[in-house]
Amino acid sequence: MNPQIYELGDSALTIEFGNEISGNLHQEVMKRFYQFQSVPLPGTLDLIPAYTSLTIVFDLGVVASRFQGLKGMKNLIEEKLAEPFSAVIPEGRLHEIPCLYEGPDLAFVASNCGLSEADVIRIHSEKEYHVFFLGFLPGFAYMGTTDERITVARKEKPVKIQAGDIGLAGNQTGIYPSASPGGWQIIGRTNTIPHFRAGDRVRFIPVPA
Amino acid sequence: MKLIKKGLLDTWQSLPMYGLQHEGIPPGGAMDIFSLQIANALVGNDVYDKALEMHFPAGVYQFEKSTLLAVCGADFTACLDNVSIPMNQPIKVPPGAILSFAKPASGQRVYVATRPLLDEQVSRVKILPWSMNPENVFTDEPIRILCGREWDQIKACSQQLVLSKSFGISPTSNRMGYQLVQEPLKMVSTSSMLSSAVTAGTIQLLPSGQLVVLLAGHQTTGGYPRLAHVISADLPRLAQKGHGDSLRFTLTDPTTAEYEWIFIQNYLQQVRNVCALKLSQHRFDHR
Repeated sequence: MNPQIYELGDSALTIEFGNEISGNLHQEVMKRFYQFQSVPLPGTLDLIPAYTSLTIVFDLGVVASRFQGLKGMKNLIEEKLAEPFSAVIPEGRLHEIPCLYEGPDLAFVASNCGLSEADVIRIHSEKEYHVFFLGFLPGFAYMGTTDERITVARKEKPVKIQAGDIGLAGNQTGIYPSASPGGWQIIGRTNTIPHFRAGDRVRFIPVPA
Repeated sequence: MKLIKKGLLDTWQSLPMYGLQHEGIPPGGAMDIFSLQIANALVGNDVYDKALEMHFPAGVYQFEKSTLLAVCGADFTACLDNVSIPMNQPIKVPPGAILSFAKPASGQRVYVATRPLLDEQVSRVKILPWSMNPENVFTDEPIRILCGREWDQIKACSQQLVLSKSFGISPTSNRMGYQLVQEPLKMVSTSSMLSSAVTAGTIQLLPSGQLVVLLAGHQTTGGYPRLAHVISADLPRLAQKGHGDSLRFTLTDPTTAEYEWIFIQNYLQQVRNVCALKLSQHRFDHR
């Protein structure tokens, strides 16, 4: 695996480890996240993991005046990636989330996928999901991957979504931590929104109304 | 300061706060961090202090104590008790004075920094005899951009268009980003990409062929092609543009982007030094 490093504007670098959603690739992302968190590069402001990439946001004033700018940081990252890895990776915690499967889009998802509503609920709740990263809204966890039988497209136009709504989009699932416009297909809701970290595991437990 | 009448969008803002983007929490902060810092420097505040960011129509505020005030950024014709006051200049304000904004002359966001004058009773509005002139930053030159990872996903003619045409700013724009108004760009390929980090200044290409420039209130990650990035040094200038203004872009290189940022940081440091010196001399003279 040969990661590519590219500039994201003038003050961030993205390390891309691949281009598909996979547990192994994401493990590499998290490994490097904890490496650069435990021993930060000079001028580091933020470390942002995603599906297959890790972005490091720098204080441009620091890196430009003392480290030959992003070019210098790129060389430093390459050196660090080549060194033996020593940081400790915390084990992902398992969150069990009670889910009331009564979302406004459950019927649509079922008919769109050629399944009964009960099938959608069973398929969604029998798999353990992986938290890939947080984004979109503070605390919004991108989880996946869902079973391909319940893969659905996003809505054409975002609608108003409540805090605790559980949605599907492509092969991802997620919980809205706060009310917001959103385009995911809402199949259920919960009143338990844990403090997620990338690398955590999630299971949805169906609860009766 | 007591609120008399609420403005369209008055918020207290400081420099962006980094370190939580992995939790999906964007750094936020003032849209125009240059004007924010000049305002704070003029009243002798700390670089991390917050100031009031306002849009037009801006709020009306009454001072409850003797205060040192500076108004920077957009020119909305700032007034104290209905008499217009200069911008980019420290002003002593007596208790009871009312700050209002008469009409928008230029810019989109005004910054009001204040510091209580604890050892002084101010009896009338007093304009202190020094000011800062930020004209060298707020020029009308094109906004400088760096190519993004997906710059090659639009056709050469569309690349040419981005670098030669003027863009309008949609009235639906907000602190999260500006939607640009232009003819749809033509894409070479429409391969879907996985979400990854974005930053303030990232110019995203929407599936409709329209462009969005992300600003201070941007989300931490995005899944649209990143055509280009506005350099950090030009973000304050961009933040003072709005609906009705036209934008032009020009390509630059990382070395220029770094140099320009350092230039602004050095300038701000000089302003802070000069302001601190002037304020301490003034206090000494008026003991």
